[in-house]
Amino acid sequence: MKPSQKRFLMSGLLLSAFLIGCVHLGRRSSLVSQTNIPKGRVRGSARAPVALIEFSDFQCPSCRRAQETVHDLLKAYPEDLMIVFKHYPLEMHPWAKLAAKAAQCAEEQGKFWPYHDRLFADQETWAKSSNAREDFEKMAKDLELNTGRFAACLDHPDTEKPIKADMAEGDSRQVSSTPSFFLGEFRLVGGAQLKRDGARLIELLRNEKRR
Amino acid sequence: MKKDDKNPNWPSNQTAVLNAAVVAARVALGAIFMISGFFKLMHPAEEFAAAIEAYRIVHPALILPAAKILPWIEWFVGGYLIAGYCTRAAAIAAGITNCSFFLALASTMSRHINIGDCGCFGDLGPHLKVWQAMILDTSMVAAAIFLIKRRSYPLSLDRWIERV
Repeated sequence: MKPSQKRFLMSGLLLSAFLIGCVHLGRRSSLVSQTNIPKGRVRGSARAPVALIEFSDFQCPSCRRAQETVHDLLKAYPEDLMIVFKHYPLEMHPWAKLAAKAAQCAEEQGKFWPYHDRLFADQETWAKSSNAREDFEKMAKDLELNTGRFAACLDHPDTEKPIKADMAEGDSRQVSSTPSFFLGEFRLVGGAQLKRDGARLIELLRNEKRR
Repeated sequence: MKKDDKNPNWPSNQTAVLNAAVVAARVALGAIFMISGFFKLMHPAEEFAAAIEAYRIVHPALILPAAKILPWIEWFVGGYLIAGYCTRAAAIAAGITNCSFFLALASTMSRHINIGDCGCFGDLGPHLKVWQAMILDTSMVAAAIFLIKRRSYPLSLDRWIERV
Protein backbone atom coordinates (compact mmCIF):
# COMPACT_ATOMS: atom_id res chain seq x y z
CA MET A 1 0.00 0.00 0.00
CA LYS A 2 1.33 3.45 -0.98
CA PRO A 3 1.95 5.98 1.84
CA SER A 4 -0.68 8.33 0.36
CA GLN A 5 -3.26 5.49 0.43
CA LYS A 6 -2.37 4.81 4.08
CA ARG A 7 -2.82 8.49 4.91
CA PHE A 8 -6.14 8.50 3.04
CA LEU A 9 -7.44 5.49 4.99
CA MET A 10 -6.15 6.71 8.36
CA SER A 11 -7.61 10.19 7.84
CA GLY A 12 -10.96 8.67 6.87
CA LEU A 13 -11.02 6.38 9.88
CA LEU A 14 -10.08 9.13 12.33
CA LEU A 15 -12.56 11.60 10.85
CA SER A 16 -15.39 9.02 10.88
CA ALA A 17 -14.60 8.01 14.47
CA PHE A 18 -14.63 11.68 15.48
CA LEU A 19 -18.02 12.25 13.82
CA ILE A 20 -19.57 9.17 15.45
CA GLY A 21 -18.08 10.14 18.84
CA CYS A 22 -19.55 13.64 18.67
CA VAL A 23 -23.06 12.25 18.17
CA HIS A 24 -22.73 9.77 21.02
CA LEU A 25 -21.49 12.50 23.34
CA GLY A 26 -24.35 14.80 22.37
CA ARG A 27 -27.13 12.27 22.76
CA ARG A 28 -29.02 12.27 26.01
CA SER A 29 -30.41 9.09 27.42
CA SER A 30 -34.16 8.94 26.88
CA LEU A 31 -34.76 5.97 29.12
CA VAL A 32 -37.36 6.57 31.78
CA SER A 33 -37.53 3.72 34.23
CA GLN A 34 -40.79 4.67 35.94
CA THR A 35 -43.84 6.63 35.07
CA ASN A 36 -46.32 8.12 37.48
CA ILE A 37 -49.79 6.80 36.63
CA PRO A 38 -52.44 9.22 37.89
CA LYS A 39 -55.57 7.14 38.71
CA GLY A 40 -58.02 9.75 37.45
CA ARG A 41 -56.39 9.83 34.06
CA VAL A 42 -56.46 6.11 33.29
CA ARG A 43 -59.02 4.78 30.82
CA GLY A 44 -59.65 1.07 30.33
CA SER A 45 -58.81 -1.75 32.68
CA ALA A 46 -56.47 -0.66 35.48
CA ARG A 47 -55.19 -4.26 35.54
CA ALA A 48 -54.39 -4.28 31.84
CA PRO A 49 -50.91 -5.62 31.09
CA VAL A 50 -50.17 -2.93 28.51
CA ALA A 51 -50.21 0.84 29.12
CA LEU A 52 -50.44 3.30 26.26
CA ILE A 53 -49.02 6.55 27.63
CA GLU A 54 -50.24 9.53 25.65
CA PHE A 55 -48.56 12.94 25.84
CA SER A 56 -51.15 15.29 24.47
CA ASP A 57 -52.22 18.91 24.07
CA PHE A 58 -55.94 19.73 24.05
CA GLN A 59 -55.48 22.51 21.50
CA CYS A 60 -53.48 20.39 19.06
CA PRO A 61 -55.53 19.32 15.99
CA SER A 62 -53.38 16.18 15.45
CA CYS A 63 -54.14 15.11 19.05
CA ARG A 64 -57.88 15.49 18.35
CA ARG A 65 -57.63 13.42 15.17
CA ALA A 66 -55.60 10.71 16.97
CA GLN A 67 -58.43 10.16 19.48
CA GLU A 68 -60.30 7.97 17.00
CA THR A 69 -57.34 5.57 16.79
CA VAL A 70 -56.96 5.56 20.59
CA HIS A 71 -60.67 4.66 20.99
CA ASP A 72 -60.39 1.95 18.31
CA LEU A 73 -57.42 0.36 20.08
CA LEU A 74 -59.22 0.46 23.42
CA LYS A 75 -62.24 -1.24 21.82
CA ALA A 76 -60.04 -3.88 20.20
CA TYR A 77 -58.09 -4.66 23.41
CA PRO A 78 -60.49 -3.95 26.32
CA GLU A 79 -58.79 -6.38 28.72
CA ASP A 80 -55.22 -5.79 27.62
CA LEU A 81 -54.88 -2.05 27.26
CA MET A 82 -55.12 1.00 29.47
CA ILE A 83 -54.70 4.57 28.27
CA VAL A 84 -52.75 6.94 30.51
CA PHE A 85 -53.17 10.60 29.68
CA LYS A 86 -50.24 12.98 30.25
CA HIS A 87 -50.39 16.73 29.70
CA TYR A 88 -47.95 18.27 27.28
CA PRO A 89 -49.42 21.69 26.36
CA LEU A 90 -47.33 23.37 23.68
CA GLU A 91 -46.44 27.05 23.96
CA MET A 92 -47.61 27.70 20.40
CA HIS A 93 -51.20 27.03 21.51
CA PRO A 94 -52.40 29.96 23.64
CA TRP A 95 -55.25 28.11 25.40
CA ALA A 96 -53.55 24.73 25.77
CA LYS A 97 -52.29 25.27 29.32
CA LEU A 98 -55.61 26.62 30.55
CA ALA A 99 -57.36 23.68 28.89
CA ALA A 100 -55.00 21.31 30.71
CA LYS A 101 -55.79 23.08 33.99
CA ALA A 102 -59.51 22.82 33.27
CA ALA A 103 -59.15 19.08 32.65
CA GLN A 104 -57.24 18.79 35.95
CA CYS A 105 -60.07 20.59 37.73
CA ALA A 106 -62.54 18.16 36.17
CA GLU A 107 -60.33 15.29 37.38
CA GLU A 108 -60.55 16.72 40.89
CA GLN A 109 -64.32 16.18 40.65
CA GLY A 110 -63.91 12.72 39.10
CA LYS A 111 -64.84 13.70 35.56
CA PHE A 112 -61.53 13.91 33.73
CA TRP A 113 -62.52 11.67 30.79
CA PRO A 114 -65.93 13.24 30.02
CA TYR A 115 -64.22 16.64 30.14
CA HIS A 116 -61.30 15.37 28.03
CA ASP A 117 -63.72 14.12 25.35
CA ARG A 118 -65.65 17.37 25.40
CA LEU A 119 -62.47 19.45 25.07
CA PHE A 120 -61.43 17.54 21.94
CA ALA A 121 -64.98 17.48 20.52
CA ASP A 122 -65.35 21.27 20.83
CA GLN A 123 -61.69 22.10 20.13
CA GLU A 124 -62.36 24.03 16.93
CA THR A 125 -64.75 26.35 18.79
CA TRP A 126 -62.84 27.22 21.97
CA ALA A 127 -59.43 27.30 20.25
CA LYS A 128 -60.62 30.32 18.24
CA SER A 129 -62.27 32.00 21.22
CA SER A 130 -60.99 35.30 22.58
CA ASN A 131 -61.75 34.09 26.11
CA ALA A 132 -61.63 30.30 26.28
CA ARG A 133 -62.10 30.33 30.05
CA GLU A 134 -65.79 31.08 29.51
CA ASP A 135 -66.04 28.05 27.21
CA PHE A 136 -64.29 25.86 29.79
CA GLU A 137 -66.63 27.03 32.56
CA LYS A 138 -69.64 26.37 30.32
CA MET A 139 -68.39 22.85 29.63
CA ALA A 140 -68.01 22.28 33.37
CA LYS A 141 -71.61 23.40 33.87
CA ASP A 142 -72.86 21.15 31.04
CA LEU A 143 -71.08 18.18 32.62
CA GLU A 144 -72.70 19.00 35.97
CA LEU A 145 -69.48 19.84 37.78
CA ASN A 146 -69.55 22.12 40.80
CA THR A 147 -68.85 25.37 38.94
CA GLY A 148 -67.73 27.32 42.02
CA ARG A 149 -65.15 24.68 42.89
CA PHE A 150 -64.14 24.46 39.24
CA ALA A 151 -63.50 28.22 38.96
CA ALA A 152 -61.55 28.29 42.23
CA CYS A 153 -59.49 25.32 41.05
CA LEU A 154 -58.65 27.06 37.76
CA ASP A 155 -57.16 29.99 39.72
CA HIS A 156 -55.32 27.86 42.26
CA PRO A 157 -51.55 27.70 41.68
CA ASP A 158 -51.40 24.02 42.77
CA THR A 159 -53.49 23.00 39.75
CA GLU A 160 -50.43 23.49 37.57
CA LYS A 161 -48.26 21.09 39.57
CA PRO A 162 -49.35 17.80 37.92
CA ILE A 163 -49.17 19.48 34.51
CA LYS A 164 -45.60 20.57 35.17
CA ALA A 165 -44.74 17.07 36.43
CA ASP A 166 -46.14 15.53 33.22
CA MET A 167 -44.19 18.00 31.12
CA ALA A 168 -40.99 17.23 33.01
CA GLU A 169 -41.57 13.53 32.36
CA GLY A 170 -42.22 14.33 28.70
CA ASP A 171 -38.97 16.29 28.50
CA SER A 172 -37.04 13.44 30.04
CA ARG A 173 -38.56 11.17 27.40
CA GLN A 174 -37.51 13.70 24.74
CA VAL A 175 -41.08 14.47 23.72
CA SER A 176 -41.08 17.44 21.38
CA SER A 177 -44.31 17.13 19.46
CA THR A 178 -47.83 16.04 20.24
CA PRO A 179 -49.36 13.57 20.29
CA SER A 180 -46.51 11.28 21.36
CA PHE A 181 -47.35 7.79 22.54
CA PHE A 182 -45.31 5.25 24.46
CA LEU A 183 -45.96 1.53 24.55
CA GLY A 184 -43.30 0.15 26.85
CA GLU A 185 -40.02 1.29 25.31
CA PHE A 186 -41.62 1.92 21.92
CA ARG A 187 -42.27 5.50 20.87
CA LEU A 188 -44.95 6.47 18.36
CA VAL A 189 -45.11 10.06 17.20
CA GLY A 190 -48.44 11.19 15.74
CA GLY A 191 -51.69 9.41 15.04
CA ALA A 192 -50.43 7.83 11.81
CA GLN A 193 -47.67 5.88 13.59
CA LEU A 194 -50.14 4.78 16.28
CA LYS A 195 -52.63 3.62 13.65
CA ARG A 196 -49.98 1.73 11.71
CA ASP A 197 -48.01 0.10 14.53
CA GLY A 198 -50.18 0.39 17.66
CA ALA A 199 -52.04 -2.95 17.42
CA ARG A 200 -48.89 -4.90 16.53
CA LEU A 201 -46.95 -3.45 19.48
CA ILE A 202 -49.82 -3.98 21.94
CA GLU A 203 -49.97 -7.64 20.94
CA LEU A 204 -46.21 -7.97 21.19
CA LEU A 205 -46.13 -6.48 24.71
CA ARG A 206 -49.21 -8.42 25.84
CA ASN A 207 -47.64 -11.71 24.67
CA GLU A 208 -44.37 -10.82 26.42
CA LYS A 209 -46.23 -10.20 29.70
CA ARG A 210 -48.13 -13.49 29.41
CA ARG A 211 -44.93 -15.52 29.09
CA MET B 1 13.00 41.05 -5.92
CA LYS B 2 11.29 44.28 -6.89
CA LYS B 3 8.10 45.33 -5.25
CA ASP B 4 6.02 44.74 -8.40
CA ASP B 5 7.58 41.39 -9.29
CA LYS B 6 5.19 38.46 -9.03
CA ASN B 7 6.21 35.40 -7.09
CA PRO B 8 5.23 32.43 -9.32
CA ASN B 9 4.46 30.37 -6.16
CA TRP B 10 1.93 32.88 -4.97
CA PRO B 11 -1.57 32.61 -6.38
CA SER B 12 -2.83 35.52 -8.46
CA ASN B 13 -5.64 37.65 -7.05
CA GLN B 14 -8.18 35.85 -9.22
CA THR B 15 -7.03 32.44 -8.04
CA ALA B 16 -7.02 33.59 -4.43
CA VAL B 17 -10.62 34.77 -4.74
CA LEU B 18 -11.62 31.50 -6.38
CA ASN B 19 -9.84 29.48 -3.67
CA ALA B 20 -11.60 31.49 -0.97
CA ALA B 21 -14.93 30.88 -2.72
CA VAL B 22 -14.23 27.13 -2.84
CA VAL B 23 -13.42 27.05 0.89
CA ALA B 24 -16.46 29.18 1.71
CA ALA B 25 -18.80 26.99 -0.39
CA ARG B 26 -17.36 23.81 1.15
CA VAL B 27 -17.68 25.06 4.73
CA ALA B 28 -21.13 26.61 4.26
CA LEU B 29 -22.57 23.53 2.55
CA GLY B 30 -20.91 21.23 5.08
CA ALA B 31 -22.10 23.28 8.04
CA ILE B 32 -25.74 23.24 6.89
CA PHE B 33 -25.57 19.49 6.40
CA MET B 34 -23.90 18.93 9.76
CA ILE B 35 -26.37 21.14 11.66
CA SER B 36 -29.34 19.52 9.96
CA GLY B 37 -28.05 16.00 10.65
CA PHE B 38 -27.00 16.76 14.23
CA PHE B 39 -30.37 18.25 15.25
CA LYS B 40 -32.13 15.15 13.96
CA LEU B 41 -29.65 12.77 15.56
CA MET B 42 -30.21 14.42 18.96
CA HIS B 43 -33.88 13.41 18.89
CA PRO B 44 -35.49 9.99 18.60
CA ALA B 45 -35.82 8.80 15.00
CA GLU B 46 -39.61 8.53 15.39
CA GLU B 47 -39.83 12.35 15.55
CA PHE B 48 -38.15 12.69 12.15
CA ALA B 49 -40.20 9.73 10.87
CA ALA B 50 -43.35 11.75 11.61
CA ALA B 51 -41.95 14.60 9.47
CA ILE B 52 -41.18 12.19 6.59
CA GLU B 53 -44.70 10.72 6.87
CA ALA B 54 -46.19 14.14 6.18
CA TYR B 55 -44.71 14.12 2.65
CA ARG B 56 -46.64 10.92 1.75
CA ILE B 57 -43.88 9.75 -0.60
CA VAL B 58 -41.98 7.02 1.23
CA HIS B 59 -43.55 3.58 1.73
CA PRO B 60 -44.66 3.21 5.38
CA ALA B 61 -42.33 0.26 5.95
CA LEU B 62 -39.34 2.36 4.88
CA ILE B 63 -40.13 5.51 6.86
CA LEU B 64 -38.44 4.57 10.14
CA PRO B 65 -35.31 3.10 8.49
CA ALA B 66 -35.07 6.28 6.37
CA ALA B 67 -35.46 8.44 9.49
CA LYS B 68 -32.59 6.55 11.12
CA ILE B 69 -30.21 6.59 8.13
CA LEU B 70 -30.77 10.03 6.56
CA PRO B 71 -29.47 12.13 9.51
CA TRP B 72 -26.27 10.05 9.59
CA ILE B 73 -25.78 10.64 5.84
CA GLU B 74 -26.23 14.40 6.38
CA TRP B 75 -23.83 14.37 9.34
CA PHE B 76 -21.11 12.47 7.47
CA VAL B 77 -21.48 14.39 4.19
CA GLY B 78 -21.28 17.66 6.16
CA GLY B 79 -18.27 16.50 8.18
CA TYR B 80 -16.41 15.29 5.09
CA LEU B 81 -17.12 18.56 3.27
CA ILE B 82 -15.87 20.72 6.13
CA ALA B 83 -12.75 18.61 6.57
CA GLY B 84 -12.28 18.41 2.82
CA TYR B 85 -12.09 14.62 2.79
CA CYS B 86 -13.33 12.88 -0.40
CA THR B 87 -14.58 16.36 -1.22
CA ARG B 88 -15.87 15.69 -4.73
CA ALA B 89 -17.74 12.54 -3.65
CA ALA B 90 -19.21 14.39 -0.65
CA ALA B 91 -20.27 17.29 -2.91
CA ILE B 92 -21.93 14.83 -5.32
CA ALA B 93 -23.77 13.21 -2.37
CA ALA B 94 -24.81 16.66 -1.12
CA GLY B 95 -26.09 17.63 -4.57
CA ILE B 96 -28.10 14.41 -4.96
CA THR B 97 -29.54 14.71 -1.44
CA ASN B 98 -30.59 18.34 -1.98
CA CYS B 99 -32.11 17.52 -5.38
CA SER B 100 -34.16 14.76 -3.69
CA PHE B 101 -35.30 17.17 -0.96
CA PHE B 102 -36.27 19.75 -3.59
CA LEU B 103 -38.28 17.18 -5.57
CA ALA B 104 -40.00 15.97 -2.40
CA LEU B 105 -41.01 19.55 -1.52
CA ALA B 106 -42.17 20.26 -5.09
CA SER B 107 -44.21 17.06 -5.00
CA THR B 108 -46.09 18.15 -1.87
CA MET B 109 -46.82 21.51 -3.49
CA SER B 110 -48.15 19.88 -6.67
CA ARG B 111 -50.37 17.57 -4.60
CA HIS B 112 -51.58 20.49 -2.42
CA ILE B 113 -50.33 18.82 0.76
CA ASN B 114 -49.80 21.38 3.49
CA ILE B 115 -46.85 20.13 5.53
CA GLY B 116 -46.26 23.43 7.36
CA ASP B 117 -42.70 22.97 8.62
CA CYS B 118 -40.42 21.21 6.12
CA GLY B 119 -38.78 19.17 8.92
CA CYS B 120 -35.37 19.91 7.37
CA PHE B 121 -33.66 20.59 10.69
CA GLY B 122 -35.67 18.33 12.97
CA ASP B 123 -37.43 19.79 15.99
CA LEU B 124 -34.50 21.77 17.41
CA GLY B 125 -33.52 23.77 14.38
CA PRO B 126 -35.11 26.56 12.34
CA HIS B 127 -38.61 25.72 11.10
CA LEU B 128 -38.66 26.54 7.40
CA LYS B 129 -41.73 26.83 5.22
CA VAL B 130 -41.82 24.89 1.97
CA TRP B 131 -40.83 27.83 -0.25
CA GLN B 132 -37.98 28.81 2.10
CA ALA B 133 -36.68 25.23 2.08
CA MET B 134 -36.87 25.14 -1.73
CA ILE B 135 -34.75 28.30 -2.00
CA LEU B 136 -32.22 26.84 0.45
CA ASP B 137 -32.09 23.55 -1.47
CA THR B 138 -31.56 25.36 -4.79
CA SER B 139 -28.68 27.40 -3.32
CA MET B 140 -27.15 24.25 -1.87
CA VAL B 141 -27.38 22.39 -5.20
CA ALA B 142 -25.63 25.37 -6.86
CA ALA B 143 -22.87 25.26 -4.22
CA ALA B 144 -22.51 21.48 -4.70
CA ILE B 145 -22.21 21.86 -8.52
CA PHE B 146 -19.61 24.61 -8.02
CA LEU B 147 -17.57 22.26 -5.81
CA ILE B 148 -17.95 19.23 -8.12
CA LYS B 149 -16.48 21.27 -11.01
CA ARG B 150 -13.30 22.23 -9.09
CA ARG B 151 -10.09 20.30 -9.73
CA SER B 152 -8.54 20.94 -6.33
CA TYR B 153 -9.73 21.96 -2.89
CA PRO B 154 -7.54 24.39 -0.91
CA LEU B 155 -7.25 23.98 2.87
CA SER B 156 -8.61 20.45 2.67
CA LEU B 157 -7.56 17.04 3.92
CA ASP B 158 -7.53 15.88 0.29
CA ARG B 159 -4.88 18.49 -0.54
CA TRP B 160 -2.86 17.56 2.56
CA ILE B 161 -2.95 13.85 1.67
CA GLU B 162 -1.75 14.62 -1.89
CA ARG B 163 1.10 16.87 -0.76
CA VAL B 164 2.65 15.18 2.29
